[in-house]
Amino acid sequence: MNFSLTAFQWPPFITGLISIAVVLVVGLLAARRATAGVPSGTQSFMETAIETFQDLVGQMAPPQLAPNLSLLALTLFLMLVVANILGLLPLPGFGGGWIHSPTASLSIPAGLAAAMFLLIQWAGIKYKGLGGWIYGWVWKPFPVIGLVINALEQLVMPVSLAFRLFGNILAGELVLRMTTHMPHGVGGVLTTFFIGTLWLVFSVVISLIQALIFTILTVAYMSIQASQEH
Amino acid sequence: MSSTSLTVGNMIAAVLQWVLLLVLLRAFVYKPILAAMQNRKENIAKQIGDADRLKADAEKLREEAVALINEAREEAKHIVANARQEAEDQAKKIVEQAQREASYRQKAAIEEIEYEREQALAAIRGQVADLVLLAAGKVIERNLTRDDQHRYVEEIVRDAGQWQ
Repeated sequence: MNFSLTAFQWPPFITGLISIAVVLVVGLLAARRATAGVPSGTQSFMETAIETFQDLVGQMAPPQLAPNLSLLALTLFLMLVVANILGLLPLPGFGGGWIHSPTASLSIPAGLAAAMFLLIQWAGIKYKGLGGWIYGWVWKPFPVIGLVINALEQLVMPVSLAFRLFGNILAGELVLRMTTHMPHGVGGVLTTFFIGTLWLVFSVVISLIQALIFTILTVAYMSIQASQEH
Repeated sequence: MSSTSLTVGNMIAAVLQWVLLLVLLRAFVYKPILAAMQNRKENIAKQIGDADRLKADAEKLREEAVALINEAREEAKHIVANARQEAEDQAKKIVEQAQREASYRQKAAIEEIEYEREQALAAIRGQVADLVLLAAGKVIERNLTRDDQHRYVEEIVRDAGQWQ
């Protein structure tokens, strides 16, 4: 792992753009001719998604935060789902080989996790006040020493978010590629066909679950930050 | 491997992509769909309210209609009973009148017959007296033989026949 300020990677940026474009197209299809009458298939899909997230977030977040946070989380979830599945599709990638998920590049989950960290702290400041937020960081569970504990807890959170998503998606892609590189012969073909198909199905499920985990954990951390009493 | 390298540019770009998507979805997708959902919710609430009100109205109208029907039925029964009573009364009256008239006619006829009979009797009595007088006159006028007598009597009888 190397850290770079300058070397911009185009492939994950472009696949990221493709991901948000797909979500946007689906969303626009759903919103086109949005009607209060009987909704079309895409509209009712989007309505179900919105309502599901309103319910999910409403159970955790404080009521003032919930409406906006649910839309924010839904956007994140939709983007991550498409991004995660993108690497499983049989599309040509950049510089040969197959396409990669943007989330299989550490920078993307890490960037998002960093943004989530800031968002979580913002929620803490907004709902507890600056004093309450600092107090929560420094004074709990023990005065002063609390800072060390809290710094560990709060910093591990985005790191774990980033690596969980990155690791799962990268592993999914790598194993899928591996099933296509079996030795020649009947055994290899059968392995590619059966194990590859099974792994593909598994990876799609993992893509959904990881997108949901990333989103829901962020909402949960934000809710905890916003509601912590002092 | 480039996938494990951490580049600040890509990190920021990923966040900006997310924010861009959020802004676009919020403006062009969430807003119209949430508005549609809200509208539908209000429509449904309104329709349920309307349905309740209409149902209450219908129930009230039904009760009124039932009351009216019952009233009409009572009235009809009353009218029929009245009509029957009236018809019976009239029939009785007609029969009574007919009977009265019949008995009157009968009485009148009897009286007339009686009168005619009296008249006839009186007339007969008068003619008999005339005949007797005529016969007596003939007897006194002549001494009659048996044959004459016979002839006269026949004559008289013939005369009497002519008078009739």
